Amino acid sequence: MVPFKLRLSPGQSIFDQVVFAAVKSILAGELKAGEPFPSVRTLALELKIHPNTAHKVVQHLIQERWLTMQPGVGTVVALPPKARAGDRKRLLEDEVERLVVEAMRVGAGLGEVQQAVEDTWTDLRSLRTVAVSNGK
Amino acid sequence: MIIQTNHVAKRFGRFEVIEDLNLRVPEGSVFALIGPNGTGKTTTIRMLMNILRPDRGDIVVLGKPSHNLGAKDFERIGYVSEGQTLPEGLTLAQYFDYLRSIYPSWDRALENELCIHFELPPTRRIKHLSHGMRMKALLVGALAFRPRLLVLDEPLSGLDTLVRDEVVNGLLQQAADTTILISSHELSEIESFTTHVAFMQDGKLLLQQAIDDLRLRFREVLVTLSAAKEPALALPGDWLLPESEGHRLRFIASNYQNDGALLQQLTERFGAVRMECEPMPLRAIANSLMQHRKRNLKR
Repeated sequence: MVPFKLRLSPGQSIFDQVVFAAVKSILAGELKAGEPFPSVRTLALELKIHPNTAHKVVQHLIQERWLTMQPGVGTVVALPPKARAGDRKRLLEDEVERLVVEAMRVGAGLGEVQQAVEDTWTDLRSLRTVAVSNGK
Repeated sequence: MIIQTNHVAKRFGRFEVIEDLNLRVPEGSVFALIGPNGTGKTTTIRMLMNILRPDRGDIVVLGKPSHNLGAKDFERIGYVSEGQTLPEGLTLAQYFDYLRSIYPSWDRALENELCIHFELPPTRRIKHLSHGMRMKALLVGALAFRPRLLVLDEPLSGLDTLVRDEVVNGLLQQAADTTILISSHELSEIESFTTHVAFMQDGKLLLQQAIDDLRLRFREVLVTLSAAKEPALALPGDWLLPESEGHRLRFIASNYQNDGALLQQLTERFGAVRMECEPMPLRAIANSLMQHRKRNLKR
């Protein structure tokens, strides 16, 4: 079973959307290190995406070290990889700037944005706690 | 290219159904041919399958001119359409026995797998099948010999959602090994695994492209100008369906690259502006292309 869903949103490639959904579910702990990752076939059938796209997603996640290949087992979830040097800077400067600009555009206040960030943060964390305690 | 048509035209009597069609279906793609009813999708497909002859232009399918396609070639082409004639008196099992004897590459295991997946009753006579079962039986017949090219004319129309889902799953299992051309008036169910899309209207292709490029290329743009202007005068041709009201201008950018480039284009034209730019669902993209064409015809 694929532990994440794909809701098609416009303006983004299917590939990017699936990669994002997979990484999110790993970070939330829905997929834990050492667990098998769904096969290309399962991904394709359950998310209704082209098998070649599913293949590309898995290859990409292996390359980015979210997954590792284990001979005889298949693809398993790895420990979350260390971020590259530029990633942190890009997030804290560019992505945050983008968020702030968007917030101003739609007229959301600083407090609202902070609250939304906190809520999302807690949601992902608490999912993780539930998933971890279920795993025991 | 698995399918290529050059300047193909077809008329029935005085009625020009297809005008200057240049279709390019790349190998390995899932290619969706989308358009309203009566637009020429079925006629196009029937020409590709050598059922109809084009009046003008040429068609190449699997490297061969379509009018030379013969029995040997159809051992590698699966074709499903709604109106196909079937041996109504045979049971499904008899029908598949018969197909097995025709196709050298018939895969019995795949046939069984599909029949189970589709829940087809082997002892039922074809004339007693429901519409949904009939389409599924046709699909087994087209998939089980593992064709190199699969051509499906409106395979989902008239099916309930459950059956649609089964059919889509059946297709997905084959999608890695074959090229699929699928016509439909609805994109939503096949959107997620479609790699290429062509929009057709009144016998013409409005656009054909890799679907991911299409998602990136179109944006709905809303601009607030610093002063009321008459912007409709000379807008770039790739800004579709422009509408303006006082300080506001709305249009569809059909060659969007990034916010910066678009904003610069706008600033050069109108001075300081505020711009909002939204990505569009494919359905909205298709609709704007069609509206755009209608509007241009009226002029």
